[in-house]
Amino acid sequence: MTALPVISRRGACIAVALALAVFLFMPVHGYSEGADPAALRINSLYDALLDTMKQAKQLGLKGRYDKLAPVLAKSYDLASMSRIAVGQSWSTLSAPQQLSIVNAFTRMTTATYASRFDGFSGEQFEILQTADQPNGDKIVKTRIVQSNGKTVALNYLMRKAGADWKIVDVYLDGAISELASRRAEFGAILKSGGPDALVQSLVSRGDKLLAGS
Amino acid sequence: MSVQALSIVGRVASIALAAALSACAATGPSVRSPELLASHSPAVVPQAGQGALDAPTDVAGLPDGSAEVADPLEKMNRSVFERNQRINHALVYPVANAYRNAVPEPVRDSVEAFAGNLAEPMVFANDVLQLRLQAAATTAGRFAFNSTFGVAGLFDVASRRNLPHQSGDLGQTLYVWGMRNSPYLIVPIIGPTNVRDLIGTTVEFVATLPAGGVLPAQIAATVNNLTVAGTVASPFTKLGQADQMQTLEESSIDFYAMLRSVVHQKRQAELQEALETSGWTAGRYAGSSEGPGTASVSTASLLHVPVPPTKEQELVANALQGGQ
Repeated sequence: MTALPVISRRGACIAVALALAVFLFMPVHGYSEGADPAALRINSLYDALLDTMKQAKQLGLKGRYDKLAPVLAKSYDLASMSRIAVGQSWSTLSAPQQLSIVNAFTRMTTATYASRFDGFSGEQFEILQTADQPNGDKIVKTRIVQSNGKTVALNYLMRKAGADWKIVDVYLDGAISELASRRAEFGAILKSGGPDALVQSLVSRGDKLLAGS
Repeated sequence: MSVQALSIVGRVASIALAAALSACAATGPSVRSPELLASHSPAVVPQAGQGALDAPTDVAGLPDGSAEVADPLEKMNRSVFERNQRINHALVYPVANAYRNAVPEPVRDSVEAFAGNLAEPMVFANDVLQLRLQAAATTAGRFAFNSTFGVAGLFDVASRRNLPHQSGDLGQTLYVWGMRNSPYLIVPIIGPTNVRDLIGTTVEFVATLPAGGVLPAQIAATVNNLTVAGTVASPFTKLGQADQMQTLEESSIDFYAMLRSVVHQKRQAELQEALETSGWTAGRYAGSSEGPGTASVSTASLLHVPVPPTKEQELVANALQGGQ
């Protein structure tokens, strides 16, 4: 009988330690994929988005832009996405033209995030699964759960860039490719107006987003 | 799923499509100071000479993006599209916003479920015509379940009983039967579709006239088909999609091209699903995720996820694969 309290105290200590470990290391939205670096990248992106959404009003548009810009730069390989969205014409462009397109696309993308993530209504981001691809890429499958329980699937195609894993394409509902859509509209503008028109369109759209119109 | 998305789903879309398929902001931004944001953030500006900016070889052989969806009528389509957009901005979007603000979400869901339930018999018929027997059985179960326990279709209780909505329309049936390539088309008022799906929708609408004699059933059938076709045709779908359309437009640099790509990808997913599960074609296409006339390396085969191969997606996949 005297040993029981000792065991109980030991068990209690272990339980407390485990609880602390769970508390300290469990991500805010229940991510439990372990240490997969590609999934961790998405996890970091979602954490930053949630944080921004919760502080949206205090931050304002400029604050959200400044907060999200470095996060998006870490999460997305926007240079590669720009290159692939441009397609065939890329190799014919000068280095300054290429850089202008990447910069304008990056700014517009960040402005879109800053403009849209302007509040929080109880949404949850969930990372469901990570799948290795034969070519070394990874697919990170996630979903967003609305406060009313409706969900939307988002799959990320991730590629290792140096030491980091970065997003190179996103599939909405597993079917609609961001990159394919961007490539369609980039191609249309390049065909009608060339690279300068593309840069101008990206800059103009970024301006409008940042103006709140 | 995305068709019915509401404001937060818009935000989700914003993540998914990074800059385009994005959110529906309920309120406008509180700061409007573009001059403060005009400069590029150093954190996101790549350096010249960086690997990704080097002249690539992986995209050297890719055709122009604008040529990847069959759109021989582009000039006329763009003209019609512009007129449709003017109508959308003047009438449809304000009405949709008022509808969303005035009608509680459960009621909107019931309106949508009711229309969808009335269209289920047509879905069932097409699933049978496509020899997609499992889809047909699921649809029959949905209709029975929702028409009874769902109070005449006002509630989609079947989805919660593992009976999800199935695709099935005459345009899809024609595709399975061999009518594969069809030009992109913008129909006045109705919006984007293609010749094959427009034929299918029209035939189905006419077919319901003598059979049903009930206007809601005819409308519902049309609603379903046009929704499947990715259009924003009906009062129901139009109201439900308007916020997404607005958001997509706000973050697009060529909305016509962007919407054409999104509609095509969405529709291709449904067509590919039909090919892979149809008794007519499953032997050839099951598991391949690759339709006729597609390139040897599809997005689906590259990603090993159920992604349908549109030409654009294949080219992107090839570029990604070659860029390693």
